[in-house]
Amino acid sequence: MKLTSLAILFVIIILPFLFISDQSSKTAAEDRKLRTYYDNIIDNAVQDAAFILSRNAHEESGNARQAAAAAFFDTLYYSFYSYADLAAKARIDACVPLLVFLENEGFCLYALNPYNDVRGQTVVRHTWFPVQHYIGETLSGRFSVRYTLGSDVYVYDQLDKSFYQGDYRDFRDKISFFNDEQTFENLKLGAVNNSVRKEIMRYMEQYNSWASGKSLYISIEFPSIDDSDWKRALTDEGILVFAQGFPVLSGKSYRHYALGGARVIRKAPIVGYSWHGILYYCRTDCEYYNKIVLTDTGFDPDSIIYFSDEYEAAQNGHFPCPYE
Amino acid sequence: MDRILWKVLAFLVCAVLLFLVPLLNMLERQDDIAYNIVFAECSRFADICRDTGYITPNLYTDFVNRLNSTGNTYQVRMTHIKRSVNPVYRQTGNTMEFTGDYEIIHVTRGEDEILDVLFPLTPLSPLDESRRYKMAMGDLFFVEVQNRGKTMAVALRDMILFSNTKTPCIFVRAGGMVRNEAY
Repeated sequence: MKLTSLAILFVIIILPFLFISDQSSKTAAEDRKLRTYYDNIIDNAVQDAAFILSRNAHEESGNARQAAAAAFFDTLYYSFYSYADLAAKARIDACVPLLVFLENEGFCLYALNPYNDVRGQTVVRHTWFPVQHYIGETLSGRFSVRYTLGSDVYVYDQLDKSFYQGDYRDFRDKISFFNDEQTFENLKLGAVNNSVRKEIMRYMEQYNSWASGKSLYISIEFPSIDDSDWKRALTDEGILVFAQGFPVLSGKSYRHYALGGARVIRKAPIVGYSWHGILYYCRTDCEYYNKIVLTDTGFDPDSIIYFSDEYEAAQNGHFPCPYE
Repeated sequence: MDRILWKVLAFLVCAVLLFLVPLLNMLERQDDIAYNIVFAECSRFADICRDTGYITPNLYTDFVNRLNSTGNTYQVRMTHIKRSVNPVYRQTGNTMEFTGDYEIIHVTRGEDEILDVLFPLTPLSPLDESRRYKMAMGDLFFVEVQNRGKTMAVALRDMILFSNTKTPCIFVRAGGMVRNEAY
């Protein structure tokens, strides 16, 4: 055989292999792109929901939750371009079966739930589940404790049959576990973790037994969550979202969780003052302002004005403090 | 005669293997890079608009210039979904009766309306405040970018495989809720 024929034979043999590996690597790359895209959308939607939640923090918690959930799904539907498409909406709903709202006093599931409507038809929609509390283990064999995300606790003494409520430090003499802050934090985190996890597991079991055999709904699983993420999610008010089953090209089925913290960050207000004839503004915790400006005898305290933000301060002709 | 045909075939195979396949590979990598740039720029633009609450002409032209620097042409589509909360009245005869409910109305504003504000017919400085497109907190804003026509890699692959790809190979969507009104 001539060398050229040998070369052609070699190419013919090797070509299918190259082609197949090329195709599979391309699929993997597209798959990764798709997953990143989903991750992005869901993280975004959760952030929006958390934003709404923190903006409506002063409202009754039920209303704030409702608004946040609506914002979450609005963003999600528009991101997938399916606001007017009921079938696509149902598909998205099926992929995001479970939202958990963590609040100070307790947590609440907003999850897919089949129920019969007035006409006797089965409707599958997200519904609110009753608020659950963070119940810890019984301490010293007699104290049932209900925790909150803050430092308040509710204690029921099984021996005295009495109920107390207040800051955990008030019960130090009664409950020895509360003497140490770290021990209390651990107990609280354990209680929150257990109650939330148990409730999610219970829901997932119920959901899976109902969803099995239905092609639109996939069975859901508790995803593996980083310990640090989990801790971060459970120590603060916020939203936890589980998204599963968005269509992917290859590999394991899509599984993602996202956290949105809804803590209201209270910024120190802005203070404006006149200093050597020039108008300045800075945060009220600015070191220069507190140490030098305020202690100076020549400073005119009447020139102090408070602003809600930098924009307002600048609009009134104040310059940013150069020492900040 | 036979030998000549073989030579032609060998020549063709050589041309494909030596020149077109490496070129195709290179162009595909270029497409990947272009995708990444478009993805980053698109998210950046959407995030800026969402965090400030308005779009300025400079911001938009800057965004389009950055996209075009990848060497492809793109179709940019922006949608602003305006959200308004309205009370629900029921009409009975001639009187309007308040039902006690409210509803949220979404009004979608397309690319045309946004661009009309950004680039008005009368010449104005790009820094003029009337050329800002303002959105309210809680509205939704999305940007969608897809490449127009074919990229080089797709064109070359179509040539080799005798196919005709119609779907865009770069397609990015970004956006979400507007979070600030800093105007």
